[in-house]
Amino acid sequence: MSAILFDGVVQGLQLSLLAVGITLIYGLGGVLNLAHGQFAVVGGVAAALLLQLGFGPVAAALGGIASAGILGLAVDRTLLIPAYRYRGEERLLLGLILTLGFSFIVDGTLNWKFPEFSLSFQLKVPLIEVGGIAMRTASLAASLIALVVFAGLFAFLKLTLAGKAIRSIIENEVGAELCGIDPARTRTFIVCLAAMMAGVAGVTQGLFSSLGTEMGPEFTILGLLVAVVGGVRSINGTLAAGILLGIVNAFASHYVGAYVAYIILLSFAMATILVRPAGLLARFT
Amino acid sequence: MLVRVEALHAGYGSAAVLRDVTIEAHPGEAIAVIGPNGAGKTTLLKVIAGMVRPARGAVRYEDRYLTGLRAYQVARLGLVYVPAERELFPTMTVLENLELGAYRNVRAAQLQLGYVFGLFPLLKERRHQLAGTLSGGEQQMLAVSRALMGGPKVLMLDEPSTGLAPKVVAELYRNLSQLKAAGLTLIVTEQQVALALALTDRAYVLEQGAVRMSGRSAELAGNPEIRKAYLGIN
Repeated sequence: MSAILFDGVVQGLQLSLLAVGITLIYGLGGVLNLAHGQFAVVGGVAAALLLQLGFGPVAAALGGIASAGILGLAVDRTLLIPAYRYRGEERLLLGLILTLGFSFIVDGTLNWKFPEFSLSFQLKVPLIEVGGIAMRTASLAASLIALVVFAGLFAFLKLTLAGKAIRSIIENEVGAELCGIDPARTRTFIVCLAAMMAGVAGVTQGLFSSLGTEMGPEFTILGLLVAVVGGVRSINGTLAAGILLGIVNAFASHYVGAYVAYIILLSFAMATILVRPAGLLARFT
Repeated sequence: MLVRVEALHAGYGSAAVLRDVTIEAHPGEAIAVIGPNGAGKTTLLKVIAGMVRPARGAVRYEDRYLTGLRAYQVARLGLVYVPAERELFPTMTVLENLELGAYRNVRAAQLQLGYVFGLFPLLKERRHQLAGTLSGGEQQMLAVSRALMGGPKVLMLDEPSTGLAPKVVAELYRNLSQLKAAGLTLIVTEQQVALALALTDRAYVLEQGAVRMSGRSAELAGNPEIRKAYLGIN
């Protein structure tokens, strides 16, 4: 029981890392990024390639995260430019199509270049016992990394002027512009930051389990579900929703199998939309 | 000349809202733009602020044209707009709203904060309160204060009295005349014409998108036509 719970929390934190990025890009840029899971996979693949080249695990991990960030930067400055010319629903729709297409390209390229590839750091993973639960230190480390990233993000958004500017754009873009804040530049920064957080999720996936090139769509879908349940404007909500859905997913996968687990997660998201229309739906209309 | 709007035409789609509008403001001068609802007053301010693209004509500020600049660029030049909607950040604190007002001028922020709190002591008391929980009058004061935080050269206010109780409006206009006395250039649109004419040096009467009359505010306040149409005095 408690071992499943622990696994759920570990997986949930990874989902939160993905979902918060989706939330930030949506809140700030008005684009629902359907290639977000691919950012994670590209980060992981880059880390694995760096490992093969003989870099140490830490350097490879940082390189992978940076690669995801660079990909995010490139997507914002090239692929999404046509979407940014529009506003509201038109931008959302064009953004969906562009990022979905891009996700196919990334998936196809990775499958073609790196078939049957997986990232695993294969570090020595001793088990330690905490409160009667045997925990793999790699899982603990992955969770710790995610929590540190979240603490950093919260501190950044709450305490720094740049972070406040980001919140102000999410809250009221017109007001932010009247303060002299450049929404486009801030948006680029956020897409880059969100991609790096996805990169962290991809790399840490390789830490406690293994990361395959085919995992992009799964990451995207789970990240979207978490973003919906968390309420797409709320970062705290997204963190909580990630952990919650991670636990639900772990138990459901264990007792009824992975496919049914997906259905349960989807039902969760649908129920949230019905009960809490202040979530994703509110911003669609 | 600090601000000069030259032969401006603007509209949404095919509907013309402004036709050949020319207005100007000297440094330290307070200008009122009055006129009925739908005369194009808000559009005029939005064009100056870079939020609406003019069809023809240009806005000159200091020694440059603002053509093609985005709203945030215009704001950074010290030409700051306070819309009637105020456009605050409701779930952020009063202090955070003010800090963001100083986004383009972080070094002067502490100094400006002291100045703004001196002008609106109530905001100092409420600085840790969320902006969305303030009363309408307090929100308008916060909007003006946020605009002042960056140390603007020109403050543009769209219908600042909207939705405020008469007592609050009187207080707000006392604050605005303090700002004017301190040398700030003001451009104010207003439905409450008597107030606007009392505050300002000169005024433009905008009707159906065109300037119908202009002159010294004191003289316009005595003009029989203005008195009849806008001041309700026969």
